[in-house]
Amino acid sequence: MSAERHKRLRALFEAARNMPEQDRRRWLDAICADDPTLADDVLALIEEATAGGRARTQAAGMASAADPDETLFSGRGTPRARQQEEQPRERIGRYVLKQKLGDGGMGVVYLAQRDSEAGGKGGLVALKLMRSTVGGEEDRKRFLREHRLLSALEHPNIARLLDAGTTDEGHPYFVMEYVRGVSIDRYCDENRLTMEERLGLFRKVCDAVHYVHQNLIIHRDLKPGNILVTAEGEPKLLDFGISKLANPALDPGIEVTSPGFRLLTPRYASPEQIRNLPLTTATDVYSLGVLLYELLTGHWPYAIKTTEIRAIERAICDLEPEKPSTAVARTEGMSPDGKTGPMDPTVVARARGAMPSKIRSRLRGDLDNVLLKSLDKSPRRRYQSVAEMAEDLRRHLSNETVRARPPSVRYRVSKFVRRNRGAVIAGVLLVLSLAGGAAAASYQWRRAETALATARASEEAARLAAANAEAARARVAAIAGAMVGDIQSKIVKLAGSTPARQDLANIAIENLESLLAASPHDSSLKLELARALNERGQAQADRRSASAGNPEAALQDHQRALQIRRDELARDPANREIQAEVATSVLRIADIYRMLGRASEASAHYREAIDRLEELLRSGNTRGVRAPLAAALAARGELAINAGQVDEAVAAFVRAQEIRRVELAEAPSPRARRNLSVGHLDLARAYELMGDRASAGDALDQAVALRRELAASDEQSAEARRDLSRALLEAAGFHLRTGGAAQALPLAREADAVLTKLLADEREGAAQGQDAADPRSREAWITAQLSIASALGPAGDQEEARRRLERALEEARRLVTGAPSWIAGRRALTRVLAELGEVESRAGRHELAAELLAEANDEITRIESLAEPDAIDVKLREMVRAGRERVRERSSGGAAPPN
Amino acid sequence: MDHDLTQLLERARAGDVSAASAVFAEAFEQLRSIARRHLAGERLDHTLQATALVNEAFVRMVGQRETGWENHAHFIHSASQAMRRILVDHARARGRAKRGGGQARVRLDDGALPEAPAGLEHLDILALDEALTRLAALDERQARLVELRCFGGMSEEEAAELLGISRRTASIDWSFAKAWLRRELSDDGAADGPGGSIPS
Repeated sequence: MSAERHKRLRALFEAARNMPEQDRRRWLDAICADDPTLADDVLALIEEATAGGRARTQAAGMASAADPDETLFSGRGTPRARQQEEQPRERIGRYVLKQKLGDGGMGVVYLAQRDSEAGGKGGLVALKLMRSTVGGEEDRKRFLREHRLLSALEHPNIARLLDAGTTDEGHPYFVMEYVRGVSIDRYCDENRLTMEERLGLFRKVCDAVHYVHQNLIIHRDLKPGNILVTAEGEPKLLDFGISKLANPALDPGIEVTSPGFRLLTPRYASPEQIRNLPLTTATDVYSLGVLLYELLTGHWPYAIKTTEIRAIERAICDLEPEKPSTAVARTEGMSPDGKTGPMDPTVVARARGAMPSKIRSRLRGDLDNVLLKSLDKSPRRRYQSVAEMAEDLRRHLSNETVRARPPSVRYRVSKFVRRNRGAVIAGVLLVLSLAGGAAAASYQWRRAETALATARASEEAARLAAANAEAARARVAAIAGAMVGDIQSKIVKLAGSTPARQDLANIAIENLESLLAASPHDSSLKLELARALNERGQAQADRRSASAGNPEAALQDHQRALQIRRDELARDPANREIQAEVATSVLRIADIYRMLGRASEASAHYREAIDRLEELLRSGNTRGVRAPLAAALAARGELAINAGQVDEAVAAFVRAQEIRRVELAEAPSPRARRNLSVGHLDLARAYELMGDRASAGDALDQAVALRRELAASDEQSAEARRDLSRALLEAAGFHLRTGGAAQALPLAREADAVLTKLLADEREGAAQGQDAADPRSREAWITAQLSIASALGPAGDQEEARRRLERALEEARRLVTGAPSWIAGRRALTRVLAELGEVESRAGRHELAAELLAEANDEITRIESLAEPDAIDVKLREMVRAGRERVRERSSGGAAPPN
Repeated sequence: MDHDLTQLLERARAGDVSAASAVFAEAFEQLRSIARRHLAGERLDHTLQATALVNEAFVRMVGQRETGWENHAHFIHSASQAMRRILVDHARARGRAKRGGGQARVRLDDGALPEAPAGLEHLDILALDEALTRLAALDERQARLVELRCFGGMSEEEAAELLGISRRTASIDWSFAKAWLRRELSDDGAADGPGGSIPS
């Protein structure tokens, strides 16, 4: 056995060991299609690990109550028939378990009955016992609090959440209305529902989902298995919010067990779920779109031939869904259990009570448009609510015009170009340059060289041929250079162009290297190669790139480029152009070291880059020097602050400002003005650290003044207004920290006014139930409320403070519900909870204060579970801890609230 | 000696290979002399407690002085390798002594190893040693982990820290490696007769 295989064995063991047995086999078979013995080995090892563990527990004479997997699932490994005979007699809470209904990735579902002791025989319920555990007392409290929210949901098409709790071992369980039914896809096919009937059923599902969205809950895991249809034909939604409630850190649609392995086939997951972006209700719109697509066509929206999970994820993120009316004719498809295989269009049609051609024409037009709209990659382009989608279906059924429009040719072309801009431009130019320029040039070159070789006899001819060869070669180099330089700079700003940039650079590097092999001492070719390496390095370091950047590879490219440039500079030390290029290389290397967190190497390179750029500036070379120099100085200052060298930081920031001022004077632009204001904020921070409050205050004043101008000059720009509010809040924060609450208050109020207006503008005209305001604006608004409350302080208007904080709390909760994994939002919520707790505590409402602070504490724990806690979180935790301490003191001492 | 050892440990920690093997040699000598004293004429499987021996060796060699966790951990790293070799040597010696008759196996009884892999308690230590060597060829880290836990008496957490892996990874590695070894050894057991795997 090879180490390679062993490694795979280990990874599969990890991924599969907690799966339910029947899923495990299937999953392993799918994954190990290339090596079936591998699946057997993994299974044997898992069996060995569990059997051995059990043997040991028994040998040690321990009661095996500690692990519910051992007690409750004791039927594991016994034949199925026996398992059903011996129904587990266990109880959970007030419920007696009667029968196992199912076993899913996250838990086991039992048919259960409420204990008769509690008065009369209870009805049958479904009890879902989660595999995860909730930790301490506070986790448990939070769990119950959120569960109350869910149990308030009442809708005829939603299985009601009746009860929830945690077992003694800490496993959460949920008690739901017991639904006798089959999954919606099976129901439709088994009863041969027509297209109309399927649409009618689906609309009921939409109603239920919309109801839940109105309660600010996202399902996140809509799939046929979660939508049962009763014998009466009523759909019932299961599991709303439960998976998230039980394990807030995990997104159920994409349950990750180990890097590269995902347990569930994420067929219904949205692109944003796959990409792990903040989720909104639009994610449910997408999943419903996939569901309806399958109900109507019998196929998954993307025609792929493999069920490999990565391929599925790629399809979801990158492929355009096929038109439903075309997809229905596919002869290959994915069955409900996720396997691909041949599929007969007539069978699909028969299940819908019609002929294939009939189904096709039924889908063409409206339904194509509705489905494609709900499946748009961009959440913003989808239906803005589930109600809107249902409404379009109603219009379709009553022969009214639907709102969803087919994408126009122009739209489709522009979308294609937009999506593939880099590739399109690169492709077009490559073809053009090869056809018109490079090809001709290199042909001439080769011919000239041949001529050179054959015409040695004639010295004159040779001289001519050499000149020709040289001219032709220069043209090839120029074209390669143009490709790298001009085109790259054109596509560099386009999102998603990184792979194209990289390809382009690869082509250029390859060509240049082969040219160099022919003439190894040609310095213009070498410099061209350095430029190409530089470009590829930039593309690889790009964090927006699909592979999330490869800084190490980028570093190598830049270092190679630098080496070439240094060599060339050594041969031609007075060459300004090469001087500038060396400086650029050094600067890029510094940036990458900084990105990699290698601070001392970054500092050293920034220093060299700064020296070289200053030298260029002194020698009168200003073009393209000032901006990188200011950026290098700012970065250098930033690193110095982190290293505690505040004096150095101030020096760097001051010099950066000088340069930016010249830049602004020579070419006034909003960009230059904004750069200057950023510099003021940097300086303010450094001065504050230095203890020079007067200078810090000055710098903040200047930043605020600049941003006021910028916001006034472009009232349309949300960015400019947000920038202004940030500067105002920075300034307010500074005054609050330095005991100047009186100065802080008007600044915070101004920020509040700017942001309130901004939010109103952003929300104007947005569909109901959908918050169109930028989360960053909302977060800033919350910060403004916090600043005002802090500035009011214990002596200020307590009513105003409370009112503002209560509204901020509402907003923060909405923000967090809409984007649960956005850390900045969670931090804002934590701060509001702590601050409101402080206000309530001062007013003598100790219990309420304690509750708020307890929730703040929960939030911090959650933040820490989402990301590596950084300095901000440490400070937050400290702040909450101190707040709780104060509340405890006040409530135990019974001291009167200070006034 | 103890002063030198601390220095050796520091150097070993910094990646000095010759220092590391010097530590190993020293640990081996010390452990063997302690073991000899403990074992004088007695049966191995009831008296040899690997953890206790390793700890005793540490105290004797380094003293009670504060040496820092890394040094301690590094020592255990070497000592657990040494311990493994001592047990194997001992088993071979017993095998030779008893060759030709009766049970020649040294068992991994609970007393000998605090973390005898479940189900492996009655297996041949030589077979375990060989299986561990095979495991090391496939995955060095897993083999090291088993060594640290079985022969060095380290807890999961300590072993994880020493190997520079997360606790979760260590825990999965451990259960994987145990299952792998059990399978490996049960196959061997079926193939070989009693004492068959003991070389002469």
